[in-house]
Amino acid sequence: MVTRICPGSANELPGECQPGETTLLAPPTAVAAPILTERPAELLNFADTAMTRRRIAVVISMTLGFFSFGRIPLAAGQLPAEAPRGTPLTDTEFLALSRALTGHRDLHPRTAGRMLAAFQRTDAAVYAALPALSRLPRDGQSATELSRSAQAAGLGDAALAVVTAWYTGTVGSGAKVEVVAYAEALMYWPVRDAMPPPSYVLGGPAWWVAPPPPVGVSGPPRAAGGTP
Amino acid sequence: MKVPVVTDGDVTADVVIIGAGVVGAMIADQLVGEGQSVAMLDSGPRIDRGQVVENWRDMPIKSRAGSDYQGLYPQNPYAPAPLYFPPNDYIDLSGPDGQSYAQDYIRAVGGTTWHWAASCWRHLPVDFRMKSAYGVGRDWPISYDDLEPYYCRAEEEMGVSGPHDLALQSPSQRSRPYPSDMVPWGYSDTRFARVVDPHGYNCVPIPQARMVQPWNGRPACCGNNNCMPICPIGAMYNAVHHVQRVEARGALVLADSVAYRIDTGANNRVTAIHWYDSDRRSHKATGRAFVVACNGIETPHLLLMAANKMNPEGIANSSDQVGRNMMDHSGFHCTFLADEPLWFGRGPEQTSCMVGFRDGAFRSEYSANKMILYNITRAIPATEQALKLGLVGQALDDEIRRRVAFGVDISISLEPLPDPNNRLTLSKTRRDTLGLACPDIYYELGPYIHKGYDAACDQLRHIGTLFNATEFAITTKLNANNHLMGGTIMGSDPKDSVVDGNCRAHDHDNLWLPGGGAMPSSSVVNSTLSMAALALKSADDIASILRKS
Repeated sequence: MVTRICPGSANELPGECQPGETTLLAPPTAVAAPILTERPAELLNFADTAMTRRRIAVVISMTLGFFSFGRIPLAAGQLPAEAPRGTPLTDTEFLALSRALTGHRDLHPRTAGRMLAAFQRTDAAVYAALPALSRLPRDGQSATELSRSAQAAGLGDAALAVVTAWYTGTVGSGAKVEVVAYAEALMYWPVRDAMPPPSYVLGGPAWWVAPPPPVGVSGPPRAAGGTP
Repeated sequence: MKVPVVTDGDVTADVVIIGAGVVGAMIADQLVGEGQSVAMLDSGPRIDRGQVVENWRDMPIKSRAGSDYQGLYPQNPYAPAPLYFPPNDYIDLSGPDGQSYAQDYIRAVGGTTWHWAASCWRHLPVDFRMKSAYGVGRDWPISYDDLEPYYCRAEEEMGVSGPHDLALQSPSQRSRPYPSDMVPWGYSDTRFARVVDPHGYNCVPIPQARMVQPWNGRPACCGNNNCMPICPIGAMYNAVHHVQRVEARGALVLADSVAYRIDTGANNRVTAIHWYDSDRRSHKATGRAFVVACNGIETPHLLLMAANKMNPEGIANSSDQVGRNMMDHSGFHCTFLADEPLWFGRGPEQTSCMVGFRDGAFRSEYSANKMILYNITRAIPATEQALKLGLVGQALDDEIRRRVAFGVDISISLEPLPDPNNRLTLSKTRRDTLGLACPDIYYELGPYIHKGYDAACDQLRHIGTLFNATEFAITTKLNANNHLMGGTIMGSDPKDSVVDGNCRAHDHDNLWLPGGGAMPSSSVVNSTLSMAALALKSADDIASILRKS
């Protein structure tokens, strides 16, 4: 399932973009298909727990429903706008910077636009540092390497602020705070095969009885200390 | 169908109930079923579930990380409830442990069942006899056996899932089975129990007011992992379910109606309760029976505020015990990373609990405990910790996944004893928007709790070793658990208690004060099911008295 967002169309029209128009992948939807096709065993596990065929259908449809939360309809007037004159960075430049800083290619342009505007309103220091930060990324550079080069350039705090915003969905703090994303916040992505962002679902009733996915990462280092 | 009569904004009904939470709504349901006309007033608004879900998703990460379960609920400007992000200081907390009594509760139709976790525990039989069994606290004037049929009925009213397996019940003294078998465990609960149970920690399923199949018009739980602060699909019991049921059968439910004055007449019987509507106009409700079921803070608050000529120290307060003996389970948390992935965070927020130290001879010296395996996704704390490590890209994602999969959060509850010095009084200086005195609460936890904390810490450190824990931490500040008890305490002697075994006020023949305030012992378990059982017992008492008159 690939969702295309057609600039200029009144509604989101999956698979029906007009020739010549740009197509954008909505990030959560883009990951839905691989998970469902690459992990058929998980659905079979649901079947093993004596679920009926109908319930499997519910599981699949609800899973699709969950992973579709980020499909944001873009109406004509809501397209990612370029930043107005006098601002240091365009939405497109901020999106490119965000991709480089997080290492995530599939960030949503509209969320990037919202985030940039939120930085402008809530955090003058970070906002002012963005142009310098956006000149740092090099081709083939990893997010870790970029992070080091930002720190070396005295832009570490601004880089961390952008990464934090993408992971938490929140820009700013205290009284000057704005929420730009919930389920789309990157903090939920590393475990999206195991649990939904709270308030969403990952399956039908009692889905959690199925075995969790392979953990795929090493355990906590023993040297970390803090033993009982 | 008998319905209340409304004249010029004033109401007359057989039964007038203040507070449309779980206690008030359940009593309303019973008495409407008896053919009585019922009027129910709540100080807060009606809640739109979908809007509150959106409010939660729109809250900044700091509020969500800090479990701000208050800020997303709309309030009646004339009926404040505590807020913490930022604090509204509605309640002034003092005493050595004042900050351990910073409570969450909702003033709205449906009450705090909007953001509970739906845990439906019973007290143990011995919890009713703390003084005779262990020489501490107080005995109830009723026994477990007296309340047992009402526990069954409350479980049936709320649609509770609990273990049919006797070995997993706490307590197992039951006359009827749970309406549905336990909410099935996932891997985390099963694995954790397998590791700790050989050591006496006795991990059992939490009885809870949700089911994994549709029930009585309620959808099946789909494990949205958002019980607190709002079940997005209504699979969790909420008192609005009973409110809707009674409204459909003729009960009158008035939202945004703030009770503030109680009239008494011959033989000190209650004759009317006055309230302010949302335009600050005053009205009165007259009836034959009156119930104040606002919660363990707002009930004593109203009784004190409503002092009149005949009851100068407050309604129902000839014993001077209204607002005293304030209790709540003192809480703390233990977090660590296990040496194997356990994957907490899948399914409803609370599914299993260690009850190995719920009871024992040690209770003569220090507090029992229960230890809930928190099943709230660790994504937020994992991300905060991983970001602090300065990671980005794949390393950051891996660290988040590691901390979520291997992370454990145990929520421990301790049992405070009733102490008359822990007291709610009316502020002499602070007033709310209606000009009514705000509550002040003094709170001090004695050695019984502190020794219980130390004992629990030893147990937790042992549990930590069973999982080769790293980053093992125990919080040192005791937190509130929003289980408000004691403020209108039950007893057989009118000189040292406020209500009798039916939660009827000693001072007023036709006034009932059911709910957590009546409970003379807190046990270590969430109070809601006991409150609901007491509500049903009160309803039976009210019904029998109304039938006679």
